[in-house]
Amino acid sequence: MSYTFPSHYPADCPPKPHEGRPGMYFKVVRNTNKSDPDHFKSQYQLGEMPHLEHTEACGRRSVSILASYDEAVRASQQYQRKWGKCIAYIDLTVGHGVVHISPTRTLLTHHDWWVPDGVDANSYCTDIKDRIA
Amino acid sequence: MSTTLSFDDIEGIATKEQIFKGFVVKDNLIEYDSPVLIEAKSPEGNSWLFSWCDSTDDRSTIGRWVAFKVTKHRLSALLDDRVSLREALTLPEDKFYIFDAKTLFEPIQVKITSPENLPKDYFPSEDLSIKGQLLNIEGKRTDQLVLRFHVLSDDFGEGKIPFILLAPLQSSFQNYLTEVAHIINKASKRGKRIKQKTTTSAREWTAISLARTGAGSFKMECESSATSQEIEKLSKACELLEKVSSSNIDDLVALREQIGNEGLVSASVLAQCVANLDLSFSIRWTSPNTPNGYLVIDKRRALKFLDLVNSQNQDLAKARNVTITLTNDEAELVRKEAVGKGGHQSLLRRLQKKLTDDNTLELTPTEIERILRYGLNYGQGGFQGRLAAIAKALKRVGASIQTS
Repeated sequence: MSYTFPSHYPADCPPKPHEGRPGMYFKVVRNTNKSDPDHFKSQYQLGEMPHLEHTEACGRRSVSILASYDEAVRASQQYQRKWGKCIAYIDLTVGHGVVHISPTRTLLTHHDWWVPDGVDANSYCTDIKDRIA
Repeated sequence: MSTTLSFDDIEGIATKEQIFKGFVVKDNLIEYDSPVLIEAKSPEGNSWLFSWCDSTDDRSTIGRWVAFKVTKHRLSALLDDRVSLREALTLPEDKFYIFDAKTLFEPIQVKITSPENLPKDYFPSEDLSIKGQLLNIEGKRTDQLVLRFHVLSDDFGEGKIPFILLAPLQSSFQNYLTEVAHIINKASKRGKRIKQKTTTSAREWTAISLARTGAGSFKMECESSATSQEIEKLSKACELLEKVSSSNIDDLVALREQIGNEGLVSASVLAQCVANLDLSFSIRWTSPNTPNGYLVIDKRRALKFLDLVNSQNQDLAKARNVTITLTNDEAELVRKEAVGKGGHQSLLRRLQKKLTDDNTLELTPTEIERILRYGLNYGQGGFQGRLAAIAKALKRVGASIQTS
């Protein structure tokens, strides 16, 4: 499937291969409102860490998602103020864009998700549960 | 999420904004969407940790971070899951900075502060290792108080100081816990106007043993045969101890109201012990009324608490003196002439004046600190050997420190 990505993306971003890696993913978010647009904003869209634009421009445009629910819970406990205490369930089926596995030192099931132009990331969110509830 | 604290409202001392000039990122230790825990190198080659704690605007463009220098030992303990991220952040070994910045090493404003001056949600809510492994403790029974006492000390961890010198710490903590629980017990019975003899000995409530669980890590569990009411009071004693670690005048007044001067002496003895041994420790506890208790004490916090106590009550300061009895051989070493003008010699001469004919010595907390420092940390010279003999005597009485 071919996609069009926003014009601010650097060349060769997202990197090839353009895999979909369909499946169930999780993301730590700040509230249980499924349509909150902030849930699926990239670092670039949030304006965070602008100095990384020189070295990690493509990564800054992706959304971080996790394949493991337990890892999402642990991430939330480590930096709750940053990431929130709710866990969003994301069912990626088809047409959602490009997903690459990109483990970090502490999150082994971390994936980058590049959302194409015209795709509503929130529409793939099936549920959000409060970890504390 | 609670609202962001204004930078001006954070207690601390403003310092120069160029403090992190020349720093470089060595590793992103935790990242998800963006890095939140970063190991950096200073131009001098020292390792520093930078940890995100807040955003100061809606667009998250200005981040608030804490930063502090870490020793190689502490960093490797963090990376190897021997120290939790919460412990690393709440027990910094050096100056603790907080700053607001759009670009990491270019702060807009910086202050030197302390973790206890910051909101609790600036730190992890659980004891997780850096890899996310949960290090919490769980009670085996619903009516049990379980404690984990985690001593962080390079000197003890690497065997530079004998493990047995931790005995006073264990003893003073146990004394504090049981004495304060006893006081709470008596107070609650007075409140209810129940004419009933109080527990014969608070020490019967619990058995605590200290065991080495890894480098610089000592686990102490309270396996109590106490009733659930007594467990509740022991747990309350832990909660009150938290006020020691974040001491300010209001906390001290509140603490005194609940545990009286007697309990304050127990807390002071414990704080003095921490200051003398120059160590840091965290206590995690779980009980029916506190499922996830956590507190930290280190030398800086202990001294701050002791200063506050001393400024409020000189009698309490005297109550922390320790009386020891030396063996004839140890006393002989102390009585030998001390020639010279150095710190060791002047301390020895002072001790000679205080040593009684029956070989007893009443030592102030400052003297104990100097004996341990000179006697254990400065090699094997003649004067050090003589002070080490007194340190041995202190070790011997560790389990039953007498206060005058």
